[in-house]
Amino acid sequence: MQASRINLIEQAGRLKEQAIGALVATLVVVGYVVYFIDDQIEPVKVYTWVAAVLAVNVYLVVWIVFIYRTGITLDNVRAYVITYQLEAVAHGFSWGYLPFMLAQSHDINTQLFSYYVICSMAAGAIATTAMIYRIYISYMLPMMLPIIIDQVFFTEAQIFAGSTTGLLMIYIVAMLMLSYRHYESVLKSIVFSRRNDELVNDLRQEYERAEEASQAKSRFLANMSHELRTPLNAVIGYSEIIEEEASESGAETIAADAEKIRISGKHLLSLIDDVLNLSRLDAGKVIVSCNALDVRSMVEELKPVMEDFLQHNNNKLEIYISDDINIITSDHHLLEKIILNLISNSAKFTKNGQVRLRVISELRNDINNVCFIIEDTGIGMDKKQQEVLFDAFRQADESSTRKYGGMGLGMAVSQKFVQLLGGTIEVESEPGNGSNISVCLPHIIPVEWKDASYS
Amino acid sequence: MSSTVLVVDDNEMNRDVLSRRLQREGYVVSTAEDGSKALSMLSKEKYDIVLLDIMMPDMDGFETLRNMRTEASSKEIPVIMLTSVNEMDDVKKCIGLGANDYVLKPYNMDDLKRRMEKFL
Repeated sequence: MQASRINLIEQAGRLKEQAIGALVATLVVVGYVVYFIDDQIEPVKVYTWVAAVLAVNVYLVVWIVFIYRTGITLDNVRAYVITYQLEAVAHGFSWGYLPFMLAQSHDINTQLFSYYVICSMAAGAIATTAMIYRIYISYMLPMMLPIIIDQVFFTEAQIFAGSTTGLLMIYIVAMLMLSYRHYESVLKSIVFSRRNDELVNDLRQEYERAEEASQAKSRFLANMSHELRTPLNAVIGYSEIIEEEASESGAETIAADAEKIRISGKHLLSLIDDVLNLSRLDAGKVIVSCNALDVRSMVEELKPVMEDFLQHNNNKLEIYISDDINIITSDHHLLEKIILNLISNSAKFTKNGQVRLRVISELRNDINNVCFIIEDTGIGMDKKQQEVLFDAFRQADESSTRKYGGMGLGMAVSQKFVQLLGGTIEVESEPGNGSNISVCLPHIIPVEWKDASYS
Repeated sequence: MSSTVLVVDDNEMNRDVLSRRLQREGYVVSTAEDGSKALSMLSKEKYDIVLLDIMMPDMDGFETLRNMRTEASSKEIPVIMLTSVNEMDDVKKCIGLGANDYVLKPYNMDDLKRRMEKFL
């Protein structure tokens, strides 16, 4: 019941869309008829007929005005359909009368003309009214049937009348079938388009729900990481104090223990940071903000932090910055994070060795790049390990995880940060021969990358 | 004459760790547990540098910084924001508000010292 009422609203909507066209077509045909019959018929009769047709059309105008003003709702749709149906009956009769009026001319051509007119009106009305089948019937039958009844029952047999009546009857049946087909296909398209809308709507809701869930997830991770970080900062801070005070007072064992607490704490902290960064990258929340960046002083500032990483495995740090390196446009924080991640990774896999950071200029695709090359003398990687180096989720399976404490998620995060800055990251390595990781960034981040967020 | 530092952080352990480590480095350290306390201390006494946490209840780092920059007495005092990674976007806002630098928690003491010395 409800569904058919909703369908009816759609149907009435299409009826409304066609109403003005129907009105205009009627007026054109009326004008044409009046012009054609000219003085063959008494003017009084013609104008009475025209007045009747126009009255029906005024009614239609009122209907159109009302339906455009109120719109179509569940409550008024039946009223609009019934009032249009009444109009259709009256309209049908007004045209049905035409052949009787023209019959007075006793001219076969004129009479045939009237048949053409009503046949074409019946055909045209399929487009304008057949979306509601009963309206078409209400229009077409009052228009076509009077002439048939007249021919069959009242007119004395004429050869002409017999054959024409037969043709007209065939025509009526054809129009009934054709209009029914039209009605069915309109109904089908309405049902389909509604189902389509429902599907699109479902999809959108589903998408919004997923989006919400993902936002909630990253919010949770952000809050969680803050909650984890606060106590962890205290652990690291106090272990540093203990370490310093113990080594000053000569309690070497305590100092060494405190150092272990501090290093483990920092490791845990960097894992938390990486998880957070990955989730922010996934949520498209990492914002790149580019500023003039003095590479030389940035590396200088990072030096103590890098040395801190390297001292654990007793590695030496060597820094080389080529003379032509100075200011680039990039994101300071992201670049710092990339370099520190790479250095800490090298530090983890190198013992009693050397980690070298070289910063050089390079021309790539006609664009000035600044390349940060991190070379270590560590255990190196085979091809298979290199393949999964940047894959956040596959590394966890690697056996090196147990042995070296894992590469963490730092490499995956770094790679994404490098992409955000419009650069490239490459690995060269051989088992036993150290690794060589180079990050090349354009001097200026291409416009389309600027202020973009990764998604 | 050693430099005076005001550490503003709502977390007691953070304040304690940072002030003890700064004292070991030879600074004279005062602490405040929130923004309004910090502002009243700044109006009474002169400090060489302020280390300011962002996330604090009541008056956060932004508000404190904004208020500092409108007061004649604290307008020129260098401010280093203390921040964690997930507040990076906020840090950029702080620099816009007139912060001089930022350090990530947990601090690398040498790094922090060097950043502080730039303004002392």
